[in-house]
Amino acid sequence: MDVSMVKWIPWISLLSAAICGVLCFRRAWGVWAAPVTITAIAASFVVAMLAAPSGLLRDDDGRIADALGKSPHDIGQTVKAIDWINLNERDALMDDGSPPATLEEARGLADQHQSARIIESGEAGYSVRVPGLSANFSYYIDPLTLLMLFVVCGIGSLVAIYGAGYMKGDKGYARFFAAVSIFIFAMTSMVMGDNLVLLFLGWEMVGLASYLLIGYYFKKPSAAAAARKAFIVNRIGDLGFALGIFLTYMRYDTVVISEVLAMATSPEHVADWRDYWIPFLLMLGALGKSAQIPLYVWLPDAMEGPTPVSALIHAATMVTSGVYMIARLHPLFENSPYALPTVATIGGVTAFFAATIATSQFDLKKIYAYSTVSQLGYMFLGVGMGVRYAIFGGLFHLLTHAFFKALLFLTSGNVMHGTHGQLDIRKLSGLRHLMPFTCWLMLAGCLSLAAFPLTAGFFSKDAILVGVFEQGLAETDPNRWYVVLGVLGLVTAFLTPFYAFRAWFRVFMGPEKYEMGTEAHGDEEEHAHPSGADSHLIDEDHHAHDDKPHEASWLMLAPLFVLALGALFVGIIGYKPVKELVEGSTAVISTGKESLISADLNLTLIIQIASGIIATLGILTAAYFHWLNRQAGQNLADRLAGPIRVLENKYWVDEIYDLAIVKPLRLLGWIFQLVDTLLVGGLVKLFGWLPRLLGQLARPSQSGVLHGYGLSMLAGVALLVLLILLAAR
Amino acid sequence: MNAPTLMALLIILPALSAVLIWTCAHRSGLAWAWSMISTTLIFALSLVLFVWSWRTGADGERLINSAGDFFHTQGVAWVDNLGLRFSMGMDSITMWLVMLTTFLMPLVVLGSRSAVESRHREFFGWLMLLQAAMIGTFIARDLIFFYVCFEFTLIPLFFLIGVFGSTDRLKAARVFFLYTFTGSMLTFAGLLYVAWYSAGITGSWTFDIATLTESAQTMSTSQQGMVLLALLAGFAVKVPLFPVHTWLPLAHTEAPTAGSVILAGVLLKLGTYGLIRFALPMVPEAAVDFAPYIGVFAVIGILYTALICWVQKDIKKLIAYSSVSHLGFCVLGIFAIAGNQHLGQSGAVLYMVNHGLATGALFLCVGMIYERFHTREMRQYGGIAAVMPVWSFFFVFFCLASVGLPGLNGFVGEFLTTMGTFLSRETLGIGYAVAAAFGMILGAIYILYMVGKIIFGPLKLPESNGHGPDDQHGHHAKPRDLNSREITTLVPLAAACLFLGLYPTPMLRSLDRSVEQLVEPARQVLVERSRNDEHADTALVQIDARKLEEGTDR
Repeated sequence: MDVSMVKWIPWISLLSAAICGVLCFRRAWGVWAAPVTITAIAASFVVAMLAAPSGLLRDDDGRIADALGKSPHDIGQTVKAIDWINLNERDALMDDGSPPATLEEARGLADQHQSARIIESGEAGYSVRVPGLSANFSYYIDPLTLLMLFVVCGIGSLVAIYGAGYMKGDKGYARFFAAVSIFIFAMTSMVMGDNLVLLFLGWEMVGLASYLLIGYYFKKPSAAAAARKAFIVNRIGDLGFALGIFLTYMRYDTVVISEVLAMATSPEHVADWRDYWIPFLLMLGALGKSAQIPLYVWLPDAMEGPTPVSALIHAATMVTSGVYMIARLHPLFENSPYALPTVATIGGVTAFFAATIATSQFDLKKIYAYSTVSQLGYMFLGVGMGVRYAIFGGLFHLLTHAFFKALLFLTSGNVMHGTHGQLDIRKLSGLRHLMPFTCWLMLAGCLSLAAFPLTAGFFSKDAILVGVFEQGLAETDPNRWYVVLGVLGLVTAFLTPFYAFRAWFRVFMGPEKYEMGTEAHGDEEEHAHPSGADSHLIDEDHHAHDDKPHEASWLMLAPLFVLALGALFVGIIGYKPVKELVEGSTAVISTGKESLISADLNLTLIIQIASGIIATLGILTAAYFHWLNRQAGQNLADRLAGPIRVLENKYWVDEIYDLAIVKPLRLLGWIFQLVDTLLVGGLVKLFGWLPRLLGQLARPSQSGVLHGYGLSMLAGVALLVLLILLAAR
Repeated sequence: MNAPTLMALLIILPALSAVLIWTCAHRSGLAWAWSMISTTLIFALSLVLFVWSWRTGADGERLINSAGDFFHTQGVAWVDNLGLRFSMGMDSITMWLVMLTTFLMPLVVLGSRSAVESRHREFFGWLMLLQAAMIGTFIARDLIFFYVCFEFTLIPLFFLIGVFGSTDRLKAARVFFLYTFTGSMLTFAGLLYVAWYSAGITGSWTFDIATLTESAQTMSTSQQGMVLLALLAGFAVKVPLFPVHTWLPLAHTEAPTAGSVILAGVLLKLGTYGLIRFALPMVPEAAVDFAPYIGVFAVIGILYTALICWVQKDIKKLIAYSSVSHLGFCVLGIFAIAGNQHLGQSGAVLYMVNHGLATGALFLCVGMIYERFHTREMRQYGGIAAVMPVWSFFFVFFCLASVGLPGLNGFVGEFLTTMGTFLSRETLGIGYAVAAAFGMILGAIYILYMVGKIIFGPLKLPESNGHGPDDQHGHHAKPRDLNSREITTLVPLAAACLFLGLYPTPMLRSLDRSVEQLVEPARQVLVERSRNDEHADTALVQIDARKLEEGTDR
């Protein structure tokens, strides 16, 4: 398949979104929404896997060529669909704003721009025409795009299949799939976009899809609040992203990524203050979308959305877009001395911070949400390094995480589905016989999350840590700070298996005990009635029929097996191909190949053994406290009541933000409102009063509204005369 | 039929139908039907002009490439010895704004089918007259003709608000009228001064805008400053720019839906149109000098009103304040004068059209639920999505267009104006853009806050107060969702928002040359100045060098 076919990928999903939108009109039509969406995403996947590889640069033995030192124009291909914002050519001007006077000046000016042409224009001298701002629906395909398309469309198809079962019978079935289709459109546009503005379009539209899906159960006030919070916190990040785009355009005169990267990596390039700031602005966007400190607060709340959404958007794909963006624009980050260290530090600290919160949450989905924040921190740590192995690790972790975290969310969706919305791990125990498949599937996910040796998570996380220590222990110019971050990563590697298995042992092991939830299939809409009495009746009815947790349907289990295989084996199978992909992408065009540490130090082996031991220890600790001897766990918790309270309340970050930012702004709004009302009131009074006063002076016998007009006209004429006199002076 | 006739028809037809409606349409339905037909016809006529300008021109020229007026006519003489003529012209800026007006009008009329209960003749008559005045303002190429149309827009709206508004209508109408009228008197003074000045140097009176623009540029800096202040007095009130925006929330809240839509959709743009058509090219030096100060007011307006929006309780008031915030971007874009690009100004024109579509549509949506529940208080609503999904869809859609979601139309204008501001280091620069960008966050906050209150949450409906058709069943009855007439009103707007969001390139390209021409004088000012600075610099360097030499000699 020709590479130009990829331009259809986003639009297939947009078409699907439109069809689903039409299907919303009749509830009976709604059932068709799932097949339409699944077909669309699967078709995108097929097109991506068949068409995109043919556009990649390969070396003589058919492998993807290494990107080091190559131009972005060579390692990838640009495919244009349609114009979006594509301005006319414009005149380039000299630094003082004047057109070039001589041919030399014109030539010098033309050299500073991409594809400039010089026109001789008679007596006016020369004019240099350069392309105007151009940001089109135009796609850039390189190995990184291919990797991301694999994740987005691949996991997307599986989750959509699962969603077809999970959302069955829901009133908003078609609405759900319409939003999922919009999401795939936005996400594919984002990972394929060849310019920053299209990237921004995808960036904001995934935010929209996320907003619509978090707020899917729109009757729940908590869902509405969570949706709003997600959108607004993301907008704060997007502000930085937008400003970053402006600054990039100011610096490079283009927003096309391949051109920007080509200029940024050229040997003649001299970094200036703008290069210093661009990555920090872009980073703000990444922190918002990928839920890193200080903008992570929206992600845990986002769990209000249906579980398939949590799996697809808030674990596997959308939240990784920050990681993608940093990898894609890595050379820009390298041009600023402190940008990458900042990314790495934020990542490392977030990984640890979120993991501590995850250890003491009781809501199954919340645990995984904080876990996602933590794992994204690992990815940031990886792409925040200047060494290849770490960048590879960050992106490889993106892939493996997509598998195991989607699996974990979907299995917890099974639990939720089977127990009518019960997610509190204190109220569930020993479900292994009632939900056997879910139990063992989730175990696969937990093992991979815990980075148990030979699972997928093991390889990717180790790659990150090896990269971090490589830079920290480098032979020349070692940076001890990275050693600290690496150790932090290892500590987090102990917390991760602990919280993952804490949940699993609680829910599936131990004595069989459960309290059913109050929602049917995690959805109150199915029996939503305006009055409480009705829904209560239906609830009781429902309970009478099946008051035991039940296993999910095959439609829901089938995609989980695929994900489980991925979570267990993608580390072994995917290691080589992904490394090839990452090393052929724009992420490493200016990152050297040679190792920073001496060859006789086998860092990889040391880290692998260490983290294997740490993971096992974490699992054993969880097993002791939460399976074998729960009383001991309880005793320990009682003794540590203080710290645990801090963790349970998530360090009160939400409350602090509310007090420090939201409340003062709102107060300011009230004050301004008051000022404005007074201003209106005052002016109205003035208008009523001033003419009257003047009227009294001019013609005391009359009053009324009408001559107010006359007087203001008179006043106007007087001012006019005054003005003319003043101006003519 | 030729283009000048068509242009004249765009003004004459609505005026004529106003007269017809007043005199003949005695049955209530007739006035509506008549205005429906006439507005549709006018839209069709403008569409003919539009397509015409796009395909061919006099000598194979196309609108997209033409810098000045594409269609132009000297018109008929008005007052010969003063040089007054009914001259008309359309460049691409005018073309798009006229299209916006003629596109909105049939939808407004369609949406107002059940809005008024009595005095139909007056209502639709004034609407028609308003249309004539608005189109006249855009296509007039004679200063007095422009000013007459500009001022004449006040009268129909005064009556639309004062007669058909809600409870506080009289106060609102009076404030609106006096406020804008006083401002535009000063503008008139400024424009007259320009004409007088021009007559002084050319020797004969003329009110041709192109001629005046050219001669006005020769005014001294202080003269230009005075004229710019005078122009701002009227145009800034109209936009409205902080701090003279206070008439707008009142007028919007009290106006009937049709009035609000036209006010937000078109009338506010008369102000920005005036700024870009007159302020920039006529007094370029003053525009460059004042740009930083005007920019400060625009930025304050963006942030200040956005915060006010957040605490509003009245839906219509919130949208009204949001207009002030949005038009701040527009003004910022207009004054983002830079040497090497005019993204800000192009973006501003785009913004005018986009804001007209999205905010006009939002007002129509609000009108639709107002007709059902007779309240605009946000806290009386909740979870409407459950009972009115179609309305909710449109409302959310237009809200998203309004907050500038990429892919819908609002984004392009907002992006370009902010980018233009960011890049215009000669006048505004990065600080302004950063501050304005915070407005984008606040925009999302207040709009989503409103959506959250009305659309999301548990179902809550206001108790009807005894007028609507719903309340014979009591307020528990499910309110009817949009009917096909209402959907027909909103669909074209949604389609336009989507189209301009995904494919704005033709519009941007067509605007390019016209905008460039209007910005050119200001750009020249910048070039002159930077040359002078350079000379000054070299002079200084020479002096320094001489001093140094003297020092070594000694």
